[in-house]
Amino acid sequence: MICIPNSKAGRRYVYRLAPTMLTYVLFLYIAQSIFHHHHPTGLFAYFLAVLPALPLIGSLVVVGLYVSEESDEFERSILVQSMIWGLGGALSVGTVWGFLEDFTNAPHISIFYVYVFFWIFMGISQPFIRHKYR
Amino acid sequence: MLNKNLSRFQRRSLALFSASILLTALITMFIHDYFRLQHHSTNGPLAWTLALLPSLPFLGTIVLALRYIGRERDEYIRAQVLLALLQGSFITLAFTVVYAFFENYLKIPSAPAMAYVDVFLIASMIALRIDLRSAQ
Repeated sequence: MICIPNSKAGRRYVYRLAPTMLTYVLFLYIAQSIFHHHHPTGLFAYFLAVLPALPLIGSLVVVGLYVSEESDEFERSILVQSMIWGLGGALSVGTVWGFLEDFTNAPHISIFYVYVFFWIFMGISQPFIRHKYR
Repeated sequence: MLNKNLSRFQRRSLALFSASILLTALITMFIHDYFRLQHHSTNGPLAWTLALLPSLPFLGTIVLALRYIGRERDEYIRAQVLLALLQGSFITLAFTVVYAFFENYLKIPSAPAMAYVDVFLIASMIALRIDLRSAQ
């Protein structure tokens, strides 16, 4: 497989992330179908609502483990910097859209997209950060 | 600024960091009031420009943080600051993900604009405090 990283920490990251994402799909399906068919209330509804979020939080823990296990200082530094840029970009987009939503009747976009934009901006920033060190 | 053990570079970075956060807060309040006084009638490119303004000093904060990390000579402090920023990022993302599912399934009201920035800054500051305390 070409996409499997060379370093040990990188391989562990991929092997940990794959089941986390599969669990996310499964939990999302469970929560979606129970909310759709049974309309739960009370504590059970809170539990079900938070269920799909758990693997996504798990994916953040997987990234944290990768950062702590990666022995290549350069790779780790690139990743950490790109994560900070990812968060900066995601929070900026979230803020801009929040204002547009509040004051100009722009359509509502779920706060979930902050998480999505984090990964997008993180991916975009990596080649630029690498280029800086060339 | 309050700690005499800080180097000149650390003091300057802290001052710039605080200034950029204050600027973010001030511009946010200004834009908020402007939109309210206009009775939400601002539209088009002006609305987009005004909505974009508060995020600029926040992006400046990110640039300052990365610049500080790049130039800090004290390896220990740099590692602690990086750790705190990452912990703050993870807490913010966990917050947004949980809030999003609550919003989606339990129909709770949307989080206000800039709430994520507040969560990030507060979480990072608390994390830095705890990390430095536990390392002592």
